[in-house]
Amino acid sequence: MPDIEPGAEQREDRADIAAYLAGDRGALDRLVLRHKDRVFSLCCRLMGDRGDAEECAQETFVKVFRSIAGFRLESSFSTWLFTIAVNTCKNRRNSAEYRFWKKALRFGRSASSCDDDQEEFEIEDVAPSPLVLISEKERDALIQSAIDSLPYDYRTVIVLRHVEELSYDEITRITGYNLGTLKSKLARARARLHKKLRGA
Amino acid sequence: MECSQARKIIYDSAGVEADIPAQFRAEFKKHLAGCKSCAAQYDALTSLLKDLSALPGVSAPADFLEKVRKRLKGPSAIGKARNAFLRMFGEAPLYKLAASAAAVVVVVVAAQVALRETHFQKELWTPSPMPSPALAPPAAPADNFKYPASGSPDSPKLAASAPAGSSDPVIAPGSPDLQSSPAPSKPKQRAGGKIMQYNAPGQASPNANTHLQPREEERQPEPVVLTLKIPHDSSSGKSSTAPAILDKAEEPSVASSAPPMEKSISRARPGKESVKPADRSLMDPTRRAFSEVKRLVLLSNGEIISEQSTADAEKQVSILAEIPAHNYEAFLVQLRRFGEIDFHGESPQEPPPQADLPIRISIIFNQGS
Repeated sequence: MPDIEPGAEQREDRADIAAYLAGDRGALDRLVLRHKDRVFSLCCRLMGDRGDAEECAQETFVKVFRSIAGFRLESSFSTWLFTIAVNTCKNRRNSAEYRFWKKALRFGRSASSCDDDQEEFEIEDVAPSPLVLISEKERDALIQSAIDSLPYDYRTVIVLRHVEELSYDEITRITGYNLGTLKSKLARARARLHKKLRGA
Repeated sequence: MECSQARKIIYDSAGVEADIPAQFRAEFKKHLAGCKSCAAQYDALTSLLKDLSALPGVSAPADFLEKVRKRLKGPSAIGKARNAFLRMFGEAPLYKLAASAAAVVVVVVAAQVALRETHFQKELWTPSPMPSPALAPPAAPADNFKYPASGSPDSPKLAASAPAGSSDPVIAPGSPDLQSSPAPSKPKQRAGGKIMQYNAPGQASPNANTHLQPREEERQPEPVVLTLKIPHDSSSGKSSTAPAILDKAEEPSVASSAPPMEKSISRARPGKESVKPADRSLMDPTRRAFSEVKRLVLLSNGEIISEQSTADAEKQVSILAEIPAHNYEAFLVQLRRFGEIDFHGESPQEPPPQADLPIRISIIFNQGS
């Protein structure tokens, strides 16, 4: 893949990485402070829980700084950071401990219909979305709830593409999907999300 | 363009015109202009995607940096695993670990060897379903006895006679009647020191576990039974002469005085008895011969298994002994000096091929007229 032309942020990242590798402990603080909110936000969107998101975000930075000597600067530091964050969240969601607690919390609730294979491109009424009728805070919570109901791969591509507004190239680097797969997943994820919010 | 095609383009492109295939771009716009439903769908999706983009970022907690620093100072997952390993084994030096591993290996190997030996012993002590006559236990002093021909080493060494009442005394090897015939069991010595008793398998004591008899014991040959006829006028000087042919360096002292009551000596070893010789002039010829034959057995490097002597002249006096095969012929030569020998059954012409095995001989003393 062609090397990305470094912007101002990327230049700062590279300088701090070099300083950290040279022994400057302050470079670590600068890198964390620069990226912690984006990483934490991404983890919040992917995990749907603030506590899990904080755990994953911390683990992401720990992994990054423990293996930063092997970072070859082929991609931007943020892309590498997001890659590790996505994989960390995925691993945590697949962990037995996470599934146990989620299962315990879900006990007594009706089964979610987010994974059913219904026709996604059906014709609906043209009534305005309820999102326009509620407050901004409620709308954000509703959207996050709809995101949480998506399968993890759909959630990942939706968040990376439409929340974090990354390019297709960056998303393919982060997720490892090829472009066709990514676009297909994005189209299905949009349809599902739209359907969820339309019925809300 | 149909609505389904337009909806697919809506979700694929997500409102980004560049993502609409060029050949459908004009037709898609035309369809949206004419289809209220698809246009509303398009507007709703673009609005949703704008809302997604407008979602506020979530700020990390204030102590996020401190927590990251703290976690970085702690051990990694590999480090945790290594620490756990060191906690378990790190205290012990390497040689202790090696010794522990070696001890485990030794225990496992020893257990396997022990189990294998137990299995082997179990197999050894379990009788074969069709015992051959050679494996049959020694019979009681019987009337019919013979040595087999020496040219047939595979044939049974001794052909025992059936118990009294049997019309066919000699059991041929592989005879189908072998199992049905009650073969006498191994002689047993009772606690009271009596002479050996020969019990048929059906007459064995309840505690006797006959199938646990080792095969080596069962392979002991049946005794050669003979009657030594003592003449009335046998002189003490003749009988007291030690056989010069026997290569015995030291002449042991032998119990020569017969007790007034029944006496049984089991497994008397030469040189281990220290009995004061009795005055032979006071003995009757049978008892004198009895003592001399015992002495002869010991001089022949033999072993007295049991003996029976009694003060009552009407009762039978006998000796059961084992003579080394290489001294067997010389023993018989010297035994003939005490009187006439009458073999029960056929007289063995020569010792069995296994010269190392001792020959068990049962001598019954009979005072002739």
